[in-house]
Amino acid sequence: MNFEMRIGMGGILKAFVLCSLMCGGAFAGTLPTPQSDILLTVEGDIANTNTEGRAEFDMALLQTLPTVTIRTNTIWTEGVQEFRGVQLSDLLEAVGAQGDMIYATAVNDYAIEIPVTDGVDGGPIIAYQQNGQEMSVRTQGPLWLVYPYDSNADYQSEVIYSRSIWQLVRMEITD
Amino acid sequence: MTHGTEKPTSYLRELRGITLLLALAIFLTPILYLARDVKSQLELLAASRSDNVQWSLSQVELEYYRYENNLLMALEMPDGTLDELRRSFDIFYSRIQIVKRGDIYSSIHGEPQIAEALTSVTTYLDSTARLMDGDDPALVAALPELLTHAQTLRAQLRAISLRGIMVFAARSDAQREDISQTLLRLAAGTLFLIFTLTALLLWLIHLFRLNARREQQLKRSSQQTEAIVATSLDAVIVANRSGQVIEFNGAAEKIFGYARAEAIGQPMHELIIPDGLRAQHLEAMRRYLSTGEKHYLGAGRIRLQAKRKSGAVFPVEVSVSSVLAGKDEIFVSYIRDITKSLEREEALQKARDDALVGERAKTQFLAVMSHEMRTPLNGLLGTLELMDDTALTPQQRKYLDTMRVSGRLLLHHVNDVLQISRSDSGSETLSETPFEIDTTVAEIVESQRALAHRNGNIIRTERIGTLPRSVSGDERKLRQILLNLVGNAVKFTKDGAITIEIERVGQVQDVAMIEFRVIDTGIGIAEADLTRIFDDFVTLDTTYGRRAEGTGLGLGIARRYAETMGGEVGVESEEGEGCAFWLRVPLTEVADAVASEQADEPVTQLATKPLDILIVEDNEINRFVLREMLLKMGHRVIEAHNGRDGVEEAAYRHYDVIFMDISMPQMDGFEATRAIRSGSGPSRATRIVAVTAHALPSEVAQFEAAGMNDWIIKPVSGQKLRALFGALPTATARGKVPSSAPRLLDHDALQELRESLPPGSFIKLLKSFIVETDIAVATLTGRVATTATPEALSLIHQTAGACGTFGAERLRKALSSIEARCKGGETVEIDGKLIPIWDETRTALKALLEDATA
Repeated sequence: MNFEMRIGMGGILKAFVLCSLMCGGAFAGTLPTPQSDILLTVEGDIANTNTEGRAEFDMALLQTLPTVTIRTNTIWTEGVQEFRGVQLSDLLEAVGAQGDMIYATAVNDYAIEIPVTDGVDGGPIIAYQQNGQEMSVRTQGPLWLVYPYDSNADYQSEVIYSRSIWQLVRMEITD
Repeated sequence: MTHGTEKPTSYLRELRGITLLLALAIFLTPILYLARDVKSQLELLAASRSDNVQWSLSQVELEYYRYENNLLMALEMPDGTLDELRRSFDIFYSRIQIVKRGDIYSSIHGEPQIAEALTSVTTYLDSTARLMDGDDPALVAALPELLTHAQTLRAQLRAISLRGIMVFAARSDAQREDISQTLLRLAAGTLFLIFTLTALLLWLIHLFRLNARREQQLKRSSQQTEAIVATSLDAVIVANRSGQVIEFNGAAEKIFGYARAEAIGQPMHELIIPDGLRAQHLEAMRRYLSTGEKHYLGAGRIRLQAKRKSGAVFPVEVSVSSVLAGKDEIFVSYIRDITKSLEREEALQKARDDALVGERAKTQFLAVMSHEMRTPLNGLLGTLELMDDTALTPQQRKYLDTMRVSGRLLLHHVNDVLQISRSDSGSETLSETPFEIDTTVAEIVESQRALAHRNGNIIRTERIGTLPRSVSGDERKLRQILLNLVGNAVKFTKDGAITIEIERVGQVQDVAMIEFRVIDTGIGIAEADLTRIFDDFVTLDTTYGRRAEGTGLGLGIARRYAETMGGEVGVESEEGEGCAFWLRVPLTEVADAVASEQADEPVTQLATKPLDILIVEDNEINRFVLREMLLKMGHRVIEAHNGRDGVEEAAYRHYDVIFMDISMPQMDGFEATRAIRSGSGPSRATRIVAVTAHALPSEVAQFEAAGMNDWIIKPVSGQKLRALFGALPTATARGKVPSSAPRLLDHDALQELRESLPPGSFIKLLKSFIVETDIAVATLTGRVATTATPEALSLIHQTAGACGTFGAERLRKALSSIEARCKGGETVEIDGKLIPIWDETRTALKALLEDATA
C-alpha cells in the first residue's frame, strides 16, 4: 500500500492531505508543541511534526495518545512486570509515519532497526511506566520499547530482544 | 452351522493386524518422543532467552569505562561535564541492575566471584548514587575519591564479564551437546525407523505380490465360475440366507424375463415363486433357518412350478444346494425350464397311448371280426353237413365237398387270426390239465398220417431216453404247436420222412423240460428266412407259397403259445435238406393215475336213448343247425330264442340237456343258467351245456361258476355233439358206466393199412368200406341171426373182418359178439344198437377221409 501510494501520488503534500483525512482533525498536519523535557524525538519520513521536520514528545504529549497496559515477564527483570505506555502503532500513526523502517536510538547510542510492520495492535508499546512508576535512566527509562513477550512465542526471539530498546530517545522513520 | 474351520484363520488375521499396529506404535513412540524433544530444543533455541549475553556483559565494562572517562573529564574541568557524568553513571547503573536482576543472568549469580564482584559494584553504585543525586559542589568534591574507588572495580567488572562469558559458553556448549545428542538419537531413531520401514515395505511388497497373485488366481477362478454360470443353459440363481438374489445369470434372465440388475437384491420368492406356493416356500425356508431341516435342499432334481416376470407359471426342474461362501451361507439354485420337454414327454406319451389304443382297437377289431365271421361260417358248415345227407347227384356232391373244404380252410384261418389277436390282447391264459405226452403226440401223428401218406412220406415217433408218462400243462396249446409243426413238415415234404423226437432235456424238481423235435427231409428254409419264420403273416418264397395254403400265422401262434407256456420254439435248417423245428416246454410231472383215469373215461359212449333237449340261442342259423343235427340224432328238441324264454321254458318242464348260448341280448347265458339253477323248476338240475365261440380257461371257470356242466365250441358239428353225449350220463347208462367200452377206431390198424397202400387206393378203399358197411348195417338191423341164417352170419363175419381191416373196432366187436353168440347156438335179434355205433364210426372215418383228401 505504501509502495502504491508513493508511485501513484508521490509528494509530501498529497501524503499530508491523505494523512489528515485518515487521522481526523486532532492532528491536522501539526502536533502540539511539548512544554517540558523532550523524552522522544521522531524524525524522518513523517507527516506530522511540531518542530522543524521533527515530532518531539514530552511525557504530557505522550500521555495524550491512547494508553495501553501490558503484563509480561522479560528476560531482563524478575517476575511479571506491568508496563504502561503508548502502542508503537499509535505513535507511528500520530506522527504520520510513511517509511518501512524505524531506526531507534538509545541514550547510550545503542541503535537498532525495527520494521514499521512491528507496530500492530496488541504489539509492542513505548512504555513510560513500570509497575506504576515512571522509569529513570537507572531503571532502563524513561522510555522502553517493550513487546508482550508472554502473549506470543514469536516475541521470544533474539531479534525481538534486540529490538526491545530501553532508554529510547530517538526514532527515525526511513524507507 | 459352525464355522470351526474359519475361526483360527480370522484369529490369525486379527493377530497379524494387532502385531502390525503394535510394531508401528513401538517404532513411532520413540520417534514421536524424539521429534517432540527436538522440537522443544528448537523452540528453546528459537525462544533464545539469552539475548546476546556476552555482548551485554561486555557492555557493562564499556559503560563503566565511559563513566570512568567522564569522571576523569569532570576532574579536569567540572563545569559542563557533570550532566554527562551523571548520565553515564545512570547508564552504568542500569547495566548493573540488569545483570543483578535479569532472569537471564540468574545462572551466573551462583558463581562466587561474580556474586562477590556484584556486591562490591552494588555497594559502590549505591554510595555513589547519593552523591550523583546531590548538589554539584559535593559531587565535585567527591570526584577524586569516586575515581579511585571506581578504578578498584575494574578487576571486579572484568571478572564478571569473563566469568559470565565462560559460564554462558559452557552453558551454550551443554545446550549444543544436548541438541547434538538429541539429533543423534533422532538420526539413530530415524535410521532405525527407515530400516524398519524398509523391512516393512519389503514385507508389504511381498504381501502385495502374494495378494496380487492370489487375486489373479481368484480373478481367474471367478472368471471361470462366471463364465460357467453365464454360459449355463440352466438358470442359476444365488440367494443369501435372507432370500435376496445375489446372482442371476443370463439363462435366468431369459427364462424368467427379469434383467439381472432388476433381480439382484430382490427377494427370490417374490420374483420366481408362484403366488400359491410362496407361503409354503417361506415356511420351508423359515424351518430350515431355524432347525436346519431340509426340504428341497440337496434333494437332487425336483419338479416344481415357477413364475415368470409376466406372471406366467411354468414347470421347472430345480436343484438347490447350500454353499458356505466365507462365513455366509448362500443358496445356489439350478433351474431348468421343462415346459418344452414336458410337452414333448406328453406328446410322446400321447403318441404311445394313441398307438396302444390303436393297437388294442386293431386287436379288438380282429377278435370281433373273426368271431363274427365264425358265426355265419358255423351256419354254412353246419348246413353243408346237413346237405350231405340229402340226395345229391355226384356232381353236386363234388361241389359240396369243395365248398366244405373251402369253408373249413376259411374257418381255420379265422381261428388263427382269433388266436393271434387273443394272444396279443393278453387274454391268453394257461390252463393246467393232466395228460400223457405219448397220447397227445400219437393223436397228432394220427391226424396227419393220411396227409403224410398222400405226399409219400413216412411219419414216425422216436422217444429218446426216459420220459415222464403223465404230465400237467396246457395240453391244448402244446397240441396246437405240435400240430402246426408236424402239419408244416407234412406239407413241405415230398416222398421223405418226418420224425418226431421227444426228449427230456432238463429237470428242475418235478418240472421236466421236454424238447419236441419235428425233423423233415423237405425243401428246407433259406438261412436268411430262418429268423423271420416265426413272425406273423410270413409265407416264404413262391415255391413254399404255392404248396402251402395258409395265413402265415401258424408259426406266429406257435411262438406265442410256446412263450406263454414258458418255453421256446426254434428251427434249424439247410435249404433243400429239410428242417428241424424244436419246441422246448416245461411240463410238470404228475402221478399216472390222474392221466390214466382221464384217459379211461368213456368219451365215446353213445347216448342210445332219445333225449329231451332245449336249445337257448338267439341266432337263427345257429339254432337251425344245432336243431337239425340233434333231430337227426333222434333227439326231441325245443327252441328258445333268448335267455329269458329259455329260463321260462326250463321252469315249465323237464329237459335232459339244455344247450345255452353265451352271448345273447337281454339275458346272457350265464344269467339264464343262474336263473334256472336257482329256480325250483323241473329242469333246475338239468345238465347245461354252454355253446361258445371260445373256451378260454377263464371262461370255463365262469361257466362252472354259473352252474354249467359242460361246453361245446362253435362251430357245432355232429362229431362234437356225439362226443358230448358220449360223456353225458344218459338215462340208461346212469349208474352202470361201462368199464371197458371198446375203442371206436383202431388208429394203428388204420395207419397200417394206410401205410401199406398208395394214398389214392386207401381213400378209394375206405370210401367203398363205408358204403358197404352202410348197406350191411342197414341189412342186418331188425333181422334175426342164427346158425340157421347163413347169409346173415356171412354178412356179419365179412363186415366184422372189414371193420378189423379199417380199424372200426367198436363195430367189429359188436358184430363179432353177435357172430360168437350165433355160433354158440343163440338166436340173436339184431336191434338198432348197431346203427349209432356205425354212425359214430362213419363220422370219424369221414373226418379222416376229409383230412386225407384235404
